[in-house]
Amino acid sequence: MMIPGMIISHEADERIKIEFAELTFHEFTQCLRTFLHSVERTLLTASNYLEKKDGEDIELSAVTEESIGYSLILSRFVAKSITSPLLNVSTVRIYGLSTIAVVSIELMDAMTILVECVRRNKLKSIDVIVPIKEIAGIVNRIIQSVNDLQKIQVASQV
Amino acid sequence: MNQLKLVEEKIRQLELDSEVKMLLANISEKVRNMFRFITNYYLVSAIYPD
Repeated sequence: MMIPGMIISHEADERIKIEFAELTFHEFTQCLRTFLHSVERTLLTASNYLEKKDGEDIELSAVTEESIGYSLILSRFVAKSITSPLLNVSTVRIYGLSTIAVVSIELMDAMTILVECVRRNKLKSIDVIVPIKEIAGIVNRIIQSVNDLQKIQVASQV
Repeated sequence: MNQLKLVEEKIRQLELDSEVKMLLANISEKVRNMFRFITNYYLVSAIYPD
């Protein structure tokens, strides 16, 4: 999985070296959008798994891990915005970024419990499928909102 | 997020185990928080541009 700003190289002894380029707010927004997309995919994969019943849970594990990975990257962006003087971020904005990262981890916490219940067939009623799909639809609308808000922000800075 | 309120209402009306209802309500609450903090962040960015 390639992460925005990730630089992979090899050390002299051929060990893989991973570094991160300086981050920008554009990358944060991109990462936030990718995170939300992976949350949406996880919810849809979970509902498909419940519908089929005999489906493989490999895909479900993969999309969940991807979502967790992106929520951790968001936290990394926040840590970097605090420590990197190059970003020159105001305290108010760091606070805003931190809350988004914290909420993304909380969301993933709730999602992993749901995925575990799905995989262990603890959700016996098929009635859960519709709300899961509807929540996935709302996540999709949030992605659209992120796009709209980004446009407003760009317009206000011109 | 009126749509989220409707989903939460539907979850309450479904005949599910209370634990499952709690699980879905928890995800719904986190999604709501995500939307709220993203909106706040962009508002703050507009008020305090760097």
